[in-house]
Amino acid sequence: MKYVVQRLILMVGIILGVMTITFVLSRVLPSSPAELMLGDRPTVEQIAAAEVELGLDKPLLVQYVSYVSDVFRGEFGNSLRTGQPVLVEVGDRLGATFELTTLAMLLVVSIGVPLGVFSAVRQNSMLDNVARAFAVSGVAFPSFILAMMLQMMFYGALGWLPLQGRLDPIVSLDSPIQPMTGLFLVDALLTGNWDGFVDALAHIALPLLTLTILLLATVTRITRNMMVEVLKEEYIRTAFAYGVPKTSIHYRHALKATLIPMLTVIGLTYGHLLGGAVIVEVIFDWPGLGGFVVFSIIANDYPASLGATLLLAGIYLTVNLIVDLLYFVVDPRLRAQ
Amino acid sequence: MLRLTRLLAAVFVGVPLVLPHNAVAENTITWATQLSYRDMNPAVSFGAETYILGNIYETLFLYEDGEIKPRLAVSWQKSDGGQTWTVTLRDNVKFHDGSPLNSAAVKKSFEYTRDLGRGAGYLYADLETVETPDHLTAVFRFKKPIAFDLVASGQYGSYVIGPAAIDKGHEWMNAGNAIGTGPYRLTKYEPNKLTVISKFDGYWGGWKAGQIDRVIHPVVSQASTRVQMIKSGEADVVRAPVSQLAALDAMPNVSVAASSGWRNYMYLFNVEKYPTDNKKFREALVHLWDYDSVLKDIFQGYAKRAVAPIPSSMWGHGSYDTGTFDPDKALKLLEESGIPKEDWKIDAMYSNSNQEQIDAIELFQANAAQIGVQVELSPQVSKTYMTKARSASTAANMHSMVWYPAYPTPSDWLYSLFRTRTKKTGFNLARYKNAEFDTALAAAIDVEGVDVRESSKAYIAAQDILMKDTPAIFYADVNRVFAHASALKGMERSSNPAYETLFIYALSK
Repeated sequence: MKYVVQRLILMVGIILGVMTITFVLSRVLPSSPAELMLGDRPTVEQIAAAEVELGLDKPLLVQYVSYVSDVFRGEFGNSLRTGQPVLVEVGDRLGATFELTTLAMLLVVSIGVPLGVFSAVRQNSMLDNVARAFAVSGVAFPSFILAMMLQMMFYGALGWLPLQGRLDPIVSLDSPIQPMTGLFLVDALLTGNWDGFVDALAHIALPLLTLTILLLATVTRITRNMMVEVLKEEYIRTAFAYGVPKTSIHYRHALKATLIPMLTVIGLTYGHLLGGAVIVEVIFDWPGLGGFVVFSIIANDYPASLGATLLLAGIYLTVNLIVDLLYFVVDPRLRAQ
Repeated sequence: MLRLTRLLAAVFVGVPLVLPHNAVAENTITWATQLSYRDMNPAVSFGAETYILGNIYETLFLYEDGEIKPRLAVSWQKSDGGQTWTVTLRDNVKFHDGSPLNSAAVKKSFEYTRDLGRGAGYLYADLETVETPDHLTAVFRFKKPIAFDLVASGQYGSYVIGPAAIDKGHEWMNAGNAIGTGPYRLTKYEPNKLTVISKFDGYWGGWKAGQIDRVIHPVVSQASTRVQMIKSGEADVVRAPVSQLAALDAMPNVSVAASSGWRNYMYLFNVEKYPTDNKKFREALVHLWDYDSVLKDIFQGYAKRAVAPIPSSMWGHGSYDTGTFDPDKALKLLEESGIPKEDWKIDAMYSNSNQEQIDAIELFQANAAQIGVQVELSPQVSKTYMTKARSASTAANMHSMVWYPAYPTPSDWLYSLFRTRTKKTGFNLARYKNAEFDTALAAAIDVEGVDVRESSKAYIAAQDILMKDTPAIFYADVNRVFAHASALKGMERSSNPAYETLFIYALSK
């Protein structure tokens, strides 16, 4: 518990630091937030009035104090670019990103770990070489090329899967998914909306496949390499000598020993993905956090970029905390300490 | 774990087999857009939203084929030298909420836009009162003469908004609610994702068989995705990159509709920065612009040669020799300019969101290099671009500009881009200052509300002064171009240069 409290205090400090750095950066960038708020053709007078309205005429320190006190009251303001409340924008997008990345991580772990174990057990076999080639290609392949190839294949050539978006507009009109958790697949199932579920599943398929292929390589290779090392350990050889079944040795004993480094990799990757798989989201018009954050930063939409950055920092730190706590679960030695 | 893997794989592979074929109503079309909307309140909107708002709201007058025609107003007359305008409204027009269009509603709408003072609301800053002698007559009184029929036919700041919407306020409208009189109602709005408009059964213009009932208007940011959507038939209307248009037009199920527009492209010279502060130097640069190649190879023929600072389809434009690609002449002018050869270096700043502008300036850079002029390119993100271009410390020698008017008037270009600015640069990125031009322009604007013909002559006189100073390379009047399903009829009627929108009411399947 003491450890958790220490980490939480540290998290608050980090978030304050992120808030300060992001705030200063947003103010020194050469752009005019007032103009962004006013649209394409603001007059000089309208810009001046908007600068007063946004408080940009005040000293930087006053603006900072005002911003921090707003944040602590839960007020993040409206996005200058979209005109919508930042919390609503970010909340909408977080569901989309969470759904995509969580499913991707589940797929990656459930395919990549067995594949890595398999490669390690059958070192230098044909299957190991194929898996290695696949892994290297997955890492080397640019995500946008892979995404567009999948679009051309599954949408253009085969016509099996939709090209972009999270839900077909017709389905969103005729069989709208009632928002409950923000996860369309879950919400559709909970409300018994079968058309909505199938359509949401079809729409998530290509971005999910892209992310899965891209990440599978890393997880497979790391699992393999760690398993190779563990399989050389004496206790594993002893288990073989005692006639313990192979599957049990590989998945119950050897794999368990790889869990800590694996958790680190998976946790970091997951945290990073929650920040937005930007390229994949942009190519598939997936309404997630990635594209929103990037466009907000490019346009210096400071309420949106500040709000989203704080949220992302919070998510990343939370995921890391969870990973650190899981170390205690999987490693009894740490609990003993 | 293996079991879970198998289960997920089965679900994933099984998806295509159970995909529902979404039933699309016969008269529903999908119009995929790259544009994100922000200000859905028509009194505030001064940007892309007009694409959709133009089908929901209507103006009092319609500017078409060079004439002002009735729309919500059936007749109008001016008095007091253009300071008072008496407008008779169309009878039996209903707003989307069923309330009637009457003079009280019109008064409320225009006063709301004026009082809000945002967007193009400044156009009505001189509106004193709107009197309502009877339910179909509105008398607009202004402090100064105004071409009210022109101004109120424009796509910004002049839509008539339902009184109930005004009562509910800006936030309500901006959240994606609308009460207009137009042929379509706003039925769904998810910012940056999807807008849907549906036929308004009570529309005063009536409906014919085959007209479009519903428009699905998703935001599809990637051009390549929009191209795939129109090719596959998933979308009925898209904006596609110019480079793709010929291939799309060759497809049996896709057509390309091009019509004249009021957007023109230019590169403004910074007349306060060395060496473009030298007129001969600027004239030389004009002759390094390969106009024909830009129009033919970059715009693929979907643009016309500019003949003035104002598009040639707009009234009041002059007609000038805006330049000829002639490197020899350019070299001669450079030598005459007195600028030493080692100073033949300029920078060009532009927004990196417009591919045609980028291609054109890169061609210019290559041509300029042939005779020893170095052009340093400075692409910028659009919002950063304006801030940097406006600041004297970061401004370049050349700045890209695309302009279109708030309402059908030449003054929009001349006043916004070239009128002398003493404090803030505004959109006058050329930093052009000429008292003679300012006087001529003011005279043209003053007479616009009184006599459009006289005003046209006065605008041309102002342009005569401007063009002598070579403040810009005016290189293209671009067409409005849409790729659309061949089965969609009426694209030519749906496009009007005075309005950015596509009039869906003119379309049919």
